[in-house]
Amino acid sequence: MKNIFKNKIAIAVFIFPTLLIYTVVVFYPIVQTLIKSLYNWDGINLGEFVGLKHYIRLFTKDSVFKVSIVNGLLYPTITVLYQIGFGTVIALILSSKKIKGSRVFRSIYFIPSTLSTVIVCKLWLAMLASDSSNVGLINRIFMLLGINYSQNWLANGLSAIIVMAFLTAWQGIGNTILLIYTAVKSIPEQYYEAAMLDGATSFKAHRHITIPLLSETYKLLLILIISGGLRAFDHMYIMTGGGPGNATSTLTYMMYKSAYISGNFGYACSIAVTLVLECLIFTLIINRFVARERINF
Amino acid sequence: MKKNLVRALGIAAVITLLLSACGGDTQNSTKPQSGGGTETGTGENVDTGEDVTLKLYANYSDDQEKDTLDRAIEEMKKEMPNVTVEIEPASQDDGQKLKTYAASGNLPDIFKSDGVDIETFNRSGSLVQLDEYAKEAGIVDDIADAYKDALYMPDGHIYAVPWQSPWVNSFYGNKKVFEENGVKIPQNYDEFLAAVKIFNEKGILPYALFGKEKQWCLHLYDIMVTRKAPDGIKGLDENSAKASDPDYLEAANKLIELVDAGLLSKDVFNTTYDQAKALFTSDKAAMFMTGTWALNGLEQEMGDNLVLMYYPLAPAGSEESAKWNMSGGYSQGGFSVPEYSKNKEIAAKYAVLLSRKVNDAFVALEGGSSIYKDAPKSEKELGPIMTRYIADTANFKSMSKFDWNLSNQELKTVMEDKTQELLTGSIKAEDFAKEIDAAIEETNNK
Repeated sequence: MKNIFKNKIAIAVFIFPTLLIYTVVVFYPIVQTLIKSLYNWDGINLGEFVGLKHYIRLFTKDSVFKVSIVNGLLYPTITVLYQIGFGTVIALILSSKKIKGSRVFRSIYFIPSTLSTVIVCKLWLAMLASDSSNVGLINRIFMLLGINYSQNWLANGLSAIIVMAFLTAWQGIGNTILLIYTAVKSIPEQYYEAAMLDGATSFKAHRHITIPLLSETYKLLLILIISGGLRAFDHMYIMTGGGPGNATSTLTYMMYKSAYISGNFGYACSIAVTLVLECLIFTLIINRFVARERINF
Repeated sequence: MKKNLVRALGIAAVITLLLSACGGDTQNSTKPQSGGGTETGTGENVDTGEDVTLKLYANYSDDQEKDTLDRAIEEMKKEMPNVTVEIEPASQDDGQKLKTYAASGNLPDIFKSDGVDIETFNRSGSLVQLDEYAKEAGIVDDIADAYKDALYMPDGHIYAVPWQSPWVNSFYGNKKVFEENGVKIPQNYDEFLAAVKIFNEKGILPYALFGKEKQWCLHLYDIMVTRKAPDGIKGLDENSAKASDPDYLEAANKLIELVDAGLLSKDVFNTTYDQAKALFTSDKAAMFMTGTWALNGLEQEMGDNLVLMYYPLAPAGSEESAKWNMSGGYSQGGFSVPEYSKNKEIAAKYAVLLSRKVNDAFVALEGGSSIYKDAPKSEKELGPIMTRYIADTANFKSMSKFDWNLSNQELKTVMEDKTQELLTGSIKAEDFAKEIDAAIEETNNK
């Protein structure tokens, strides 16, 4: 085995297939996207080089871009708060020995994660329906309680984004709970026993032991949830079509529309590059500020 | 370690650049397709009577499409018995599959296309000019004069032969709902607005619009505009009109007024075609809009309860003069053939003849008017409303365009978005016009 690691040719032979696949599947498309973002290109014919024109239009003229950026920030903010906040609380409760039937609850919380996004969207569309001829469950509950809060949740950009972010979080919380629960279970019992001997309450033990030791898990979750939120597309596509107007547009949806509806693939490439940069920035920020060595126990 | 990393990245970059050099030139990526027939010196097959199999990409999903195409292909066996077709049903995917085929030089031997596809695909000269084939098949002489323009693309050549007479957008009324609620079927804008208010007060949805499909929001705007400016959205698409022109602005303001009066469902932007149609046919909505291609089916389903309404949105007094300003209309499109098809000549001849056979099969099986002077008789018993509509087509004075036939795709997207926004009532008509005009300027100055 040691000989293999010393043999550079053997290393190269083993690495080359993966490197080739990575280059063709990941690196090449990224470079192509970057190049094509500098062209007026319809996706079929040869493009015309326009330099940074698409980027100038994107950053200075396109009002949809601003809406998409705001939505792209709001969406992951809500999903992070909901998924990590509630996910942590539920995972901690489930990991407690005092809770009976935690296995059943774990399965129940995980059910939404097993459903397809289309099913979830259709389900919630029916529940959110607001027309007098077809009032959905949510508005009906308000009506039954006598609360004058029935509304069309998807008719307004802000409420629509909040609702869709909530749906995403609701659907994805099972995975979050599972990851946090597993991480909590991997913390040695002795830490808690020592804390209890020092007179710590259960809350204090979690505050000073569990949460700091979950930092790596949180980092992973933050990257997954935030990059997922920035790339949000399917809920908008199914539930609102990016509307009303462009009120629920995100960068991914904008990219899809530019390429596949407007036929402007060059512009779509410039949006894709911006999206990649945005995801990279957030990943760097998370890595910078949620590093384990920065967490105080 | 760092050196190795740099080397690895270097190799990756070289491979990427090599691949980049291989790709990109889509203009030349025109690989030939399926074989058959006899090859000429140019690599094409000519019709020598040998058996040939052609790939056909066409609408072939619902029963009506299948029956029509099956009938047309059966008829084609009499004309070109040596040709067999392999049908690939067209996807409902905004034309993505076809665009992917075009980008990779893999367009099928014959494919259904619309005017926008033809212009895009043909920018690199990859479609066969069908002028001679159409002339030889008698298409040019036999097509009704009113539809002759639809044959030719802006460069004056034929790249596809249309097969259907132009449909239009239409309003439909549910007579039962009108009668039960004591509302007069409106003839002009004032009566329409009054009807909307009454239905709204009575808890009946005045107008079932499937606003989830943004093009239908735009069609509603087009209908309103065409009451005064016959070109409607076609004028904006062709840069011969502005959304801030008085007639266009008035239309936007009237739409806002109607929305404020409760014209649409609260869930309009989540409503699909099936849902809107169900609301209308189950007497939960008073009016509905879709193309006249649905007229026959609606009449069969609703019988006497169906009312075909010719856009009751004109100002009082000008109903008659605006009545035949139709929203919708024909466009270039039909079956096209890529230049690189190995069976180019056979495919071109087949495509032209098939277009006509599809027209004949559709008229025979579904009713409707033919685009040819010598139309076959409909085998289907048509209801009185459909019969009246066919007779009325002779009165059509002008046509705008369907959303999907607009040539300025970027402008179309902006118009769809902004019209949907307009129908929320959250945007002023002036702002709506300003945004559309800005998009017209932007897209025309590219």
